[in-house]
Order: sequence, then structure tokens, then C-alpha cells
Amino acid sequence: MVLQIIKYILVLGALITSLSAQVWLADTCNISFFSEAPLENIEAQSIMPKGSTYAAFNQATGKLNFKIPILSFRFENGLMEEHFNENYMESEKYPYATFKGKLSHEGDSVVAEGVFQVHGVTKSRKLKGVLVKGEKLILKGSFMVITKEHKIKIPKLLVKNIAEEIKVDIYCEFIQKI
Amino acid sequence: MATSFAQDDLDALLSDGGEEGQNISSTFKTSRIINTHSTELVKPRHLDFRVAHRFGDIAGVSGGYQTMFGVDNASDIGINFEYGLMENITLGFGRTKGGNGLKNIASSLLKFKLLSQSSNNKIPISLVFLGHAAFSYMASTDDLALISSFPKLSHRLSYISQMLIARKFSNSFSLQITPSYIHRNLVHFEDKNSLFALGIGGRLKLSKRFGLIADYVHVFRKNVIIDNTEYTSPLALGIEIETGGHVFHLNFTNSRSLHESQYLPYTSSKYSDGQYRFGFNISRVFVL
Repeated sequence: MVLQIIKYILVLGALITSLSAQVWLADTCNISFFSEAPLENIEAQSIMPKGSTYAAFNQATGKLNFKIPILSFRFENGLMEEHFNENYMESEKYPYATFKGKLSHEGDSVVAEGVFQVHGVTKSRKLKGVLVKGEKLILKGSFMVITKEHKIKIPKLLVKNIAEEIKVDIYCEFIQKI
Repeated sequence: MATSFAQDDLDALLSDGGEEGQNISSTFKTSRIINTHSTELVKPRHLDFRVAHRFGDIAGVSGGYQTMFGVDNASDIGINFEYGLMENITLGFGRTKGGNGLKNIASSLLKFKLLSQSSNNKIPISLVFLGHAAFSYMASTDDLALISSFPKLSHRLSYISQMLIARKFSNSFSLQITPSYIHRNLVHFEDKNSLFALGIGGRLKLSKRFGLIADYVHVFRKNVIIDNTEYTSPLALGIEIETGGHVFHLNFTNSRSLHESQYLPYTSSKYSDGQYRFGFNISRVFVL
């Protein structure tokens, strides 16, 4: 009887650790975007602060979720930061950019297929990246966001200052959550 | 619990931007409300080049059409450079003509951001310490009753410490209160070397690039009348226009001077006597 209980506890414990060990959380994330237009290039960066998590990955199911606060993007120019938050992204109304998807291997790279939401508009996307496994999981990728698709309005006067397609770069390091 | 991770609960693991929330940016568009400094700092490695003018009295004895309502006179002219040393430190230096009190002011300032308002309201305000030093390089006078007699070199100096406390209530409305302390090394014998002042100012954005601005600083002093001059407090009202690269302030104020060391202790012109003037501040930020 006692042996049976011990065995049961051991099996249960092993099960819990093996399952929860499949979940990885980002402990370093660097998200940046780049707009290349004839008159000016605009760059902004969001560096994940300590104590927060932008991304989670479940190795067992392949599920990958991202949640990035729009207000966290820092620009070189203060007025640009104000325009970004108040005029274009409406970050008070739509505070996050999110991605919910599934990661699968495709040759040397990985593909994340799921829904990407920014400025309150959801799009199905298939995003390519690279996953490096070591003590940490390192996920790198870049993709384009078409501002029109997400109802981010750019005044006609500024089409030479702001690109219609914005390049987003993602670099995240994940650690096992136990 | 373990199995729940396998489902959609990955989201529950993601934070809402961390314990601290996100820093609220752009409480004001530029480093001044009108006369007073705002909680905005210059970004690191950026230089804010500022030009400001205060013209002559619009109405009253020295106003009217014969001075084109003041624009033929310049009561103060200021050129200032402010540099973002770090994310939370701005250094500045500049010179102003000096509208009243002393003339020819060379000044320096240090702005240090202590708190940033956060999106989750854990920190409800932005808090900035601002220290100024002003040095008058005007020629000294022989009349020892005047503060411009400067018996010692240190008499040319004055210092101001301010705490800028601001909150961005919404994208369109920001408010700031500004407790201030000023020390002048040489004052008139009826005057006090140290004075306290309390400022209040704000911005109401009417559109993305256009807003109303106002500020007032109440100067606390025992003797309001010193050497037959009645002193008052500066009030400014204006509009703010942003063109993408420049920020313009077009304003009306009774203050003749631009620098804190002058307009806090020496404002004596009154709205009721027509002694208010047109003025502007222009800011242009360069990347260095």
C-alpha cells in the first residue's frame, strides 16, 4: 500500500515536471521596427524590462504567444514617439501587439502560423524565423507589417516620411519555467 | 495545473507590461510650458536649440500703434541650448538679454528626472528636479543702492531650485505644479535674498498638432512694494503649434523676462495697465 502511494507520487511528480518543463518564458526580448521612406528612416525599439514577459512557448504543443506593450517602444525623437502613440497606434485604445500561433519546423527554420493583432485588427500570418536550442531557446525572426491592413492611417502628406510597410525584428531568449 | 499550460493559458503567463507598467511619454511637447519649464527632458544625445522673444507692452503708456503694439520693442531675447546627456539628465546653457532686474544673463541648468508617470498608475506623476544658476555679465553701476552695483563678483549670481510635478491626465490634457525656491546673492535692502514661488501650468490639446497652453507662478513675498516698484506674478497664455520638427509657442504674458532668475523676483508689469506683450518660443531638436 505504502509502496503504491510512493510510486503514485513519483509518477505524478515526474508527470508534472515533464509537462511544465515544456513551457518556456522569454527572459530577454528585443523587438524593433524600421520604416524606410524616401525622406527619413524611422527606428524604434522595445527592450523587455526585467520582471515582465513578452513571450511564452510550449514545446510540447508548439504553441507560441507574444504580447508586446505599444507604449514600450522608444524612439530617438520625442515628437515621433508622441505621434506614434497618439496619432497612429492609439496606444491608449489598443495597448498591445499580440501573436497567438503554433511553431513548426520547416527545414532549418521554423514557421509560426497564427493570428497577429495590432491596432485592434487581427490578421492570419505565417511568420518565418530561426530557433536555436541550447540551455536557452533563442528565437529570431523578422516580418513585414502593412500599415493599411491594420487600419493605421498615414496622412497623404507624410507618405514620404513613413513607409507603408514596416519591418519588424524580433529577438527573444527563452528560459524553462519551473 | 500542468496540463493547463498545454492549452491557451500561455497568455496567463504573459505580463501586462511588468510590475512597473509602461512609462507615459510626451506629457508636454517641449521643455517649456510657456515661461516655466515642463517635465520633458531632451532625449539622449539630442540638442534642443531654443529661441525665445518677448516684445514690448501691447497697450498702456509704452504700447499702442506707435510701437506697433509692442513688436517694435524687444523686452527680452533668449537663445538656449539644452542637451540630453542621459535618459534622465538634461544639461543646458544659454543667454538672455534680461527684461527687468539685471541685464545680460548667462545661465546654466540641470534637469534630473526622478519619476516617470506609469501607464498602470503605480506612479501617478512625473517628477523632475530642475536647478538653475544665472550670472549677470552687465557692466556694474556706481550707485551702491542699485543691485547692479555688484560690490563682489558673487553678487552677479542667483540660483533657482524647482520641483516639476506633472500628470498627463489624458492624451489631450496635462497639468503641472512647480514649487520653486530662488536665492539671489544681492538684493535691494527692502527685499529678501530668498523667495518661494509656486507655479501651475497646463496644456489642452485641441488637435494632434495644436493646443492651448497657460502657466502662472505665484511669488510669495512680504514686501510687495520695493523701492517704489510694485511687484506681481507672471501669468502667460498661449497656443502651441507643432510642425513635425519644430514646436512654436505664441503667447501673451505680463512677464518682461525669459529667465527664472528675472521673471520670478522682478515681474512688475500688470495686465491692468496694458503691460502685457506678445512673445514666442521656438524649439528645434537636432540629433548629434
